[in-house]
Amino acid sequence: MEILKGIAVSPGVAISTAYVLGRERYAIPTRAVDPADFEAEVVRFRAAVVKAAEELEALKDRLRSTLADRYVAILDAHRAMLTDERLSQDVIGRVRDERVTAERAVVLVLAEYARTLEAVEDPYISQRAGDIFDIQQRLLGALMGRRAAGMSDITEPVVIVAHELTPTETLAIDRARVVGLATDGGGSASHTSIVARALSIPAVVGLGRASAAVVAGDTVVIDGDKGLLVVNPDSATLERYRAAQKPAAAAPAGLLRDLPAVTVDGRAVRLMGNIEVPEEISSALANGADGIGLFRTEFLFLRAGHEPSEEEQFFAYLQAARMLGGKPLVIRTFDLGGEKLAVGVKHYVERNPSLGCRSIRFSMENPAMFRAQLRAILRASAHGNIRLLFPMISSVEELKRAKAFVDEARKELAARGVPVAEKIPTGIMVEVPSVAVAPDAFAAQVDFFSVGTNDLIQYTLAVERVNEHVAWLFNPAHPAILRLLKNIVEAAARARIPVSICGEMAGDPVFTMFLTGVGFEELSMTPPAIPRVKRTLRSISYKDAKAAADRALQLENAREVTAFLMESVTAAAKPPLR
Amino acid sequence: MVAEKAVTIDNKYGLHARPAMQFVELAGKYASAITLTRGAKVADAKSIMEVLMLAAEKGSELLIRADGDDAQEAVEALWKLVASKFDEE
Repeated sequence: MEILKGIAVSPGVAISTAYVLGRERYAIPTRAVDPADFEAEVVRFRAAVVKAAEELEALKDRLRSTLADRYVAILDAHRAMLTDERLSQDVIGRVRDERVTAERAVVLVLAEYARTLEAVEDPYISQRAGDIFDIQQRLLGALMGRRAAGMSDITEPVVIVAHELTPTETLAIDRARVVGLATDGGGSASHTSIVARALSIPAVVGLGRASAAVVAGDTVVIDGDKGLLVVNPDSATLERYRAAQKPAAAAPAGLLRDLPAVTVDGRAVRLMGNIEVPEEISSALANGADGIGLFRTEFLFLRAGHEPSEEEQFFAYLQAARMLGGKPLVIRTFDLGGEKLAVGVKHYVERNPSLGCRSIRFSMENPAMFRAQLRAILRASAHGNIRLLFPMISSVEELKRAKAFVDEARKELAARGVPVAEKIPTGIMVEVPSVAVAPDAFAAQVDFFSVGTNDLIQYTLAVERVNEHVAWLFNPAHPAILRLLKNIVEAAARARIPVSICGEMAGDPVFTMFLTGVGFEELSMTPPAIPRVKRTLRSISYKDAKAAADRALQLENAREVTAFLMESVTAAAKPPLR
Repeated sequence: MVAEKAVTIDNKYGLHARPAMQFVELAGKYASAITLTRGAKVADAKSIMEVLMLAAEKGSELLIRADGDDAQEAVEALWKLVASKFDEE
C-alpha cells in the first residue's frame, strides 16, 4: 500500500482499477532491428517526419483564426524542430549503431534533448522540455500510424491516473466509465478539476508522481475529501473506504431533499449550488439546492474552444434560468487570466499571475468581450431570476467602473429595443483582503456580497494552494480568516444587504456550525456537498452555533479551531428531525 | 572570410523555441557557414535543435561566427536580432 498526497478538488470516494495515462502514451516496440532492415527503418522514419510536419501545418491552418500569432509561431518552431536534419541524423545513428526500432530511437534521442534542457536552472528554459515532449509524441503518432492511448480505449469503469489531461481529453470523459480522476499536475482551477466537479467525479490533482507510481490494473482509492490517492490499499483500508462510501449511497437523498434547510431551533439557511455548465442544474436541484449561488461562466470558454459569442452565452444563461424556474441564478462574470485556462484569448506573461491582470481586471482590459458578456446576461435577465456578480473587486473605483460597463450595456440593449429586467441585483465577490478588511464602502454600492474563500485565503495567508511546498499552510480555519468573515457579515448587516459564501469552506460540514453561527444566511457549494451540509445544519441549533462561533474566534491557531469545530458539530448535534 | 561577434542573450525567456526559430530562419538566408558558440558547446546556427540545445537562458554569453563571402553581413544581422531581444519586449 502506498498513499500519495495531493490537492482535493472534487469530493467523494472512488474505488476502482487504475487506468494509467502516463507521459509515455505509446507502447514502444523494443525488438532488435536486423542490419538488413536498416534502410527500411530509415525510410519509415523519414516518411513519419514528413507526415508529422504535414499534420502540424494542418493544425496551424485550423488554429490560425482563433489563436494569437505568437502561438501560431510556436507551431512553426515545432515544425522546424521536427524536420531538423540534426534530429534525423541522431535518430538514424541510433537505429544503425544500437539496432533499435525508429520508435525507440526517437524516444531515446528526444529524451536526451529533454534532459539537456531540464538540467538548466532557469525555469523558462527548463520548461521548454515540454516542446520536446510534444515533438516526440507527434513523431511517434506518425510512426506508429495510430493515435496515442486515450480515453476512448476505456471500456469498463476505471479510475484515471494521468500525468496530465489535455482539454480535449477532459471534455471527452464519460461519467459512466470514469469513476475517479488523479493527475500529477494541476490545481483546483485547472480544467481537469473543473470538469471533475462539473460531473461529480471524485478527483485529486497535484499528486506529483502518481502516473509513475501506479501501474495499470492496480486497485486505487481516490479520497476526494482529503486529497489522497491510495495505491493497492490493504484490506483494512479498503474496508474503511468501502464503509465511507456507503452512507452517501444509503442516505435517502430524496427524503432529505424535500426537507427544509433549518436548524433545530428554526434558523433557515439557504443552500445553493456552484456550477460550471447549465447541465449541472438538474443535479443541483436533485440534491436540494435552493438556487444557484455561483455560475462560473469561464467554463463556456473551455467548452466552446473559443471566446463564446453573445448569442452562445445568452442561450446558456437562458437555459440555466429556465431550468431553475423562479429560483435565483447568480452569474459571475468571467474569471479568466491567472492560472485559469482560456482558449483563444490573449494572455499576458506575468511574473505573478494571481496578483496580475486576471478576473474583473482582465475583463475590463478586454472591453469588447466584457460588454458582450454583460449584454448576454442582461438579455437573459428578462427571462428569469438572475443576479450579476463581479469577481475579484479590490477597490471602489474598480467597482464603479464595472458598474458603468453594465449601464452602458443596458443602454445599448435599450437602443436595440431588447427587453431587460428592470432591476438586476448586482454584487461582488469578497475575495481580496482590501474588501474584507474595509467592506462598508463596497456594501454601500452593491445589492449583495458573496465571499469567495479560496482566493480570500490565498491572498490573506499569502499561500498559493497549488504550490506543493506551501500548500500545507493553506487553511480556512486560520483565525485571520474567521475574523475577516465576521467583519464581512457585520458590514453586510449594517448595509442591510444579503451575504453568502461560495468557497469550498461552505461545503465542508466542519464549518457549517461556524458559518451559520457567525451569521451567514446563504451557503453555496458544489451540488454533491449539499445533502451532508443540510444534514449537519438540521442537527445543530442556531443558539449553539452562535456560541461555538464566538468561542472559535477566540482560539489561537487553525489546528485548535478545526479540533474545536469538529468536536462542537458532533457534541451539539441533536437527533436530526426526520 | 571569417567574421565573429559576441552577444549576450537579454530577453527574459532566453533562447526558447520562438526566438530560436527567428535566429535560425535569418541564419538560413546567408550562404556562409555560421556557428553559435556557448562555452564548449558549438551549434550550427542553421539547425534549430542545435541552437535550442545550447539552452541559452537570459544572461548567457554567446559567440556568433560566420565563414564565407557574406560572413560580415550575416554576423551583423544576427547580432542585431539578438540585441533587439527578438522584438519580444
